[in-house]
Amino acid sequence: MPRSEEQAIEFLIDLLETYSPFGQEGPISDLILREMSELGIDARRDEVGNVIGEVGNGPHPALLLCGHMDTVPGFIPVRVEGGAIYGRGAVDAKSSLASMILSAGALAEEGIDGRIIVACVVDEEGEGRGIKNLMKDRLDVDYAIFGEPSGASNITIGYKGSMRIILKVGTEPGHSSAPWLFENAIERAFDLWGAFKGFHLPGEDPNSKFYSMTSCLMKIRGGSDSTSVPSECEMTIDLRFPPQISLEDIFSGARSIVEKFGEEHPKVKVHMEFGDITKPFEADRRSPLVRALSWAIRTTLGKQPTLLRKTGTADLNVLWEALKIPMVAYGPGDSKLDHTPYERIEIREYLDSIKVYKAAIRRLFELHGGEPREGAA
Amino acid sequence: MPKIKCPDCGAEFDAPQDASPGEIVSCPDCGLELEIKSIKGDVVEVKELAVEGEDWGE
Repeated sequence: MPRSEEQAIEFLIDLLETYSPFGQEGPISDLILREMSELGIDARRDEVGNVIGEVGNGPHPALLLCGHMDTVPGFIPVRVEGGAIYGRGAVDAKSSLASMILSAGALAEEGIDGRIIVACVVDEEGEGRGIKNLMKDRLDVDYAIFGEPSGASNITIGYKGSMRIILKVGTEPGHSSAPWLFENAIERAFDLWGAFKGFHLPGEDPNSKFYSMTSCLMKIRGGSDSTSVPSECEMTIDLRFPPQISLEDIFSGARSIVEKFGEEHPKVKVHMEFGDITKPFEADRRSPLVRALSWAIRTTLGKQPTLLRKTGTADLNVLWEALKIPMVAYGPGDSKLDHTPYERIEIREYLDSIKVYKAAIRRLFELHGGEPREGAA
Repeated sequence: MPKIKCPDCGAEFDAPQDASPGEIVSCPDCGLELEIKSIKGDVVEVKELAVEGEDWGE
């Protein structure tokens, strides 16, 4: 049966008190299975520990609500103070998860023409075993909402892409008592980093943090305790890029930097590798999903929604690349508190998000299959 | 009286009598904010106002 506001608050407190750093999701999955069962959601646990609940007769429209049960390590004692609940995962992302489960439970009671799949995945903060297992079989869904904190009156419609650039710089070794005679690999690597720090391509919008590229030096390793001038240095750069920049342009631009550097430093060898590539994501802001959530925020909360594009990268990027269906991220909370010791959720915002989820799903199912709106892609 | 049709929910409502291009109106049914682009007789052309922003993190 549907939950009252008091029961919704109790459920979130139970989730927060059930410590669930990635790899230790067993107890929280028991709690969620029990709650889903009481709400009338048909739930099961898959082979990696994800809890999958289903509501409705389906088959279409089918909506995936995907949230994660795990958190980063570091328990925060749960307390209610000043209208907020403090605890590890309060923002990232147990309040979103609870909102999804409770809104699906309310719709299970009322009945829906379509299908909702509530996927509570494991290991989002680890290696993503939960989402990978979910993607193993092609998901037959039309839309997806990821439960990540956007703020109850905001919708996240974009995440940047990311890749790692690994640069190995090599020089001829020599004695450190005569440094003027030899190229120092660490110094040259840092010169090369200077070139990558200013790596930009045509098509970027320099006034936008989302529509421009950024580089961050993540790791640098080289040298030894010997009396040799360092002859090896390895750097890892985290490059974030927007949807309008192609991978080919990035590869080509990076190679140009290395070639130019090679011409200026003929005694220095540079080897470059690209890894961990995640493509950017940007939702069509006129899709039925964005319209339904916007409508729900306006009518439920009386606020104009803000459509957010974020500089981070999420599981959503990976699933979007695989399914190419309308997706967004939505959930209560301020993502600036993610992974901090100050995680807290305003109780009012949490309760609001349950109402928004429920209204948005109803609206989405009405809009699905309707006449495309003028100007819609 | 010039009428405005909400492009989102389809509701029809009266434009304010003294409405002029650039003015912002809200759909009384769904709350969508619309900017009046032009008024020609009883035909009011509107554009949806979207609030967009950027943020860091996930």
